[in-house]
Amino acid sequence: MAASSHPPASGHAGAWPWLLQRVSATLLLFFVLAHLWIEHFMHVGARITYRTVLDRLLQGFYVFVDAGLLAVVVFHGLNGLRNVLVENTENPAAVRAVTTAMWVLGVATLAFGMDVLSPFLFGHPWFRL
Amino acid sequence: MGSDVLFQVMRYDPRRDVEPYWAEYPVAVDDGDTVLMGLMRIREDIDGSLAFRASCRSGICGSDGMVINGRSRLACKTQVAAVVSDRGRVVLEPLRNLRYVKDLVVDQTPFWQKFRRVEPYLMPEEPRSAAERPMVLPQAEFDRLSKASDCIFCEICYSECPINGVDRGFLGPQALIKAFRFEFDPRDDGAAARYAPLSNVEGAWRCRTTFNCTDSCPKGIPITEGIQRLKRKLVGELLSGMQPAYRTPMPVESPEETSS
Repeated sequence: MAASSHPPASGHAGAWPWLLQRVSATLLLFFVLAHLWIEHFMHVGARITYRTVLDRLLQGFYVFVDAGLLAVVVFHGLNGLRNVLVENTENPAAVRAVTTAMWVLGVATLAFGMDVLSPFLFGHPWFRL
Repeated sequence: MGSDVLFQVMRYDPRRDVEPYWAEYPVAVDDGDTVLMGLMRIREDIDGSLAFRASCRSGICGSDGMVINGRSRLACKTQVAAVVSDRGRVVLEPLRNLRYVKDLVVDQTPFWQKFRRVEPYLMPEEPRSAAERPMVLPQAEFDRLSKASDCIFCEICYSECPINGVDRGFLGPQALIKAFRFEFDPRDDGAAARYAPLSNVEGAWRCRTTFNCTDSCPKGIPITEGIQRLKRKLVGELLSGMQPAYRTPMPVESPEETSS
């Protein structure tokens, strides 16, 4: 059999997705528990009106939990999906294409999610359709 | 001699056969007989052309790994009575994920190349005399590494790993557990040299922790746990800014050339 050269070592390749998947999983646990606590236990019996929801969303803690949950869910989900999609692919160009697509989809999803919160935070939506 | 058991063996001689086929041999076996003893009876009494690897017959040399009734095992450690109840017969195939050579013999070349790629030996920072630097391994460290040192190179983990099946470039569980054995040895300073082949999309990060290697290892080595610890060490090295020490490339066969 003919010998070929050693495939080029790609240094840190693969390390960051592995590490960040575990970091985001840990953060996800915190944000999901915080979300469930806020939604089901912090305001038991309170009347839900536009005003009360607005007051709540204008507080930094709620914005932090909502935005953090959104960012972590999107990253964790899309990083996992990327792993599935490139599982049987050995073509570096295909891997790069999938990674780029996941980043575009992730940033778009984040922007869309923050757009929902933006009227409460800034008085007007980020994107006007 | 005891009762006859049917051995169904995958036969293939690339010089003669167009494709693999099944051959069946009734073999007289006694209680306690191993699959390897049955194979030897076939070769001695029925068909001398049957090819398989074997040497020590006692689970030490790791030569006689093969797929027995659907799972990769050592033929010398597997009793006929323990597997015959599965299908009423003993079904033998060559190890998976390696190219067939003949009958139950596979080409081990990619396995050994990947093993060598992780530089599986102690690399002290600079060679010194024993007086300057005693190479003593403390008992606690020895206990931690001793299971990983038990590997007999039988290729059973390599055969059972589904990632080796879909990605011929993946180092495989055996190379990674050997890397673990030296990376965690306090006498070793070879982390930078091993960093590039290990922290790589075809290295430790390709492992999907299916535990097939741990389940199938005839020596009971906790391979998956070792690989996970190796990953954590690599993350520490990544965050500490380790720069890989690139070394002279070792010629290896490309995945296409070694695929079956």
